[in-house]
Amino acid sequence: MNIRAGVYTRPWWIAIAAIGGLLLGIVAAGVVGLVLNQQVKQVTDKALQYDVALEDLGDDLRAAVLDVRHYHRDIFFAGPSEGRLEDFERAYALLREEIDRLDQLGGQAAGVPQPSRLREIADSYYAAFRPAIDRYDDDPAGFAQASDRGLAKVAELESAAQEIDRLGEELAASSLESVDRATTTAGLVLVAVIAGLVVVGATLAYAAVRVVGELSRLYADQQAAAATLAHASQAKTDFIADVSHELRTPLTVLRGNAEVGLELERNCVHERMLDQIVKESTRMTRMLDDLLLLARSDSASLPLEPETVAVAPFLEGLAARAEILVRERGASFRAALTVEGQIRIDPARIEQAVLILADNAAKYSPRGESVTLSSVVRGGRLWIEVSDRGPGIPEAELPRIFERFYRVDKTRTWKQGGTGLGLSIAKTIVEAHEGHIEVVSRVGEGTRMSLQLPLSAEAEPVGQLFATTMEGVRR
Amino acid sequence: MSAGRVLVVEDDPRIASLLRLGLEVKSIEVTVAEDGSCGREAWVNGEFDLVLLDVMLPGIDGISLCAERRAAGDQTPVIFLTAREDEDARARGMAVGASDFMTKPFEYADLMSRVMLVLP
Repeated sequence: MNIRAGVYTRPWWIAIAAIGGLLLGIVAAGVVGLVLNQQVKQVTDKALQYDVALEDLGDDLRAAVLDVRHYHRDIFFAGPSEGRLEDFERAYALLREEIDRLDQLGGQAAGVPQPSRLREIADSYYAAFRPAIDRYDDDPAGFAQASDRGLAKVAELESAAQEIDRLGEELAASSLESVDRATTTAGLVLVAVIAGLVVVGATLAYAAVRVVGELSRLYADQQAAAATLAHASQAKTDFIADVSHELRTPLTVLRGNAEVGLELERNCVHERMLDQIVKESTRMTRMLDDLLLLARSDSASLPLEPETVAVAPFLEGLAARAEILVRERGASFRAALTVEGQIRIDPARIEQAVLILADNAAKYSPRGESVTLSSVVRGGRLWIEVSDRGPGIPEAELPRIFERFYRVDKTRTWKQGGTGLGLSIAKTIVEAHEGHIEVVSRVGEGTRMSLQLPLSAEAEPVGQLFATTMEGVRR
Repeated sequence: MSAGRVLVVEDDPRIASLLRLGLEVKSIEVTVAEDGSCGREAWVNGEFDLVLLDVMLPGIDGISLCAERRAAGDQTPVIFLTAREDEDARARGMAVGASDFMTKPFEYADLMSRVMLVLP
């Protein structure tokens, strides 16, 4: 059953989709986690790069300012010597470097004293105080005045450095706080994503379980329906078997009594009636056999007794019986049998099928016209053909002639005594042999019925194999 | 003038009566038994040229009855009447010493030609 396969596979696809969705979700959560982690890292890096560096610079700048003041005072109290002057110059250069570093750090936060301003103060300090050192001996009062003004500027620088240090500390603390905040936010986002994922996964799993359950139920229902159907079909076959069995005895009694009646007195007024009873009850008996065969084939239990037979003698015997049948109907008979090889069939059944075709052909043949039985091997298959020169079958009727009780000529049948099941039986038998039956007919010219059966390949003689191969090449 | 004596053992009265009628037309003397036990009694006590014996019988079945008579040394010819579907019965019937068998439904002419072959 095709339906069964469909019902059976789909739940798996749904389950796979659900699991796949979950896996994708987990990957997505991982990606989100990585992105958040990166963001936290960036915030942290920024805090370390600027805020902490600012604090450090504040410290360094203050140390440099204090150095300058120290050497300034040295010169003030002890007078300029070459060594002290050198120390002073070095301290000043260091101060300038520290201011440059502050400048390089860039991105000044609000409220941080600007490096340009610091440089301006430092420059003006140096520009005023350095020449005054050279006049230490000549103009002590001017030197002292310049020194006082210089120290005021140094104090200004120191407070600026302290301010930077303080701001650096503040900023570092607040950026650490923002790192904390970023981490917490990232954690919350991650938890939210995972929670969402769990909800989605659970929903998918629930849906999958529901669908699988539903489809399993459907599958079970279908199985049950198929079983019921099979049972019903078997019941029908059994019923027909019972009916035909039960009808057989009354038919036997009916026909027997008519036959005995005919035996008692021939040439009486009742003779034609008794004849009619014999004929019709014989036909009914045959119809019961046909019905039984068809019913059995419907429930796939057409009993075949297959055996491997040589084709030539089988066809010869068949031709002999067909000839009797055909001649009884007043037609002449020709046989063209050229086939050798072996075939696995139920010989009695195949003979039954071919004789049905021969009987049909003879029935519709004009008196004296010939019915031909021929056979060939084509494409590894045995073809048995029965052709007649009867009236032919109209094309519109051809597809229906194998239907049960279908008759082309509705008035003719009763005279011929057929059951209306013959071709249907022939088709059933041939198909039970994995064969095929077909008809070609032209109105006014005749009809050819062909049945083809698979040959036993391993038993085919060499010559036949060659002929078959050639046939294959030509196709 | 009797053409022969035939014992018919058949439980279906319709078939039995048809057989009686058909055989009597040919001046054959007919005795009918309706089951295996009556058949056995008639067979043992009578002189018959032929027994028409149904296979499916109430009481004792036809095959067993035939086997029993053969074992007792009785060589009266027997024609079995078998159902068409019961192909196995023919083989079993021939195995216990039947002369012939007829499948039901049978044709009158066919039956008579078989009966005439056996009768003296």
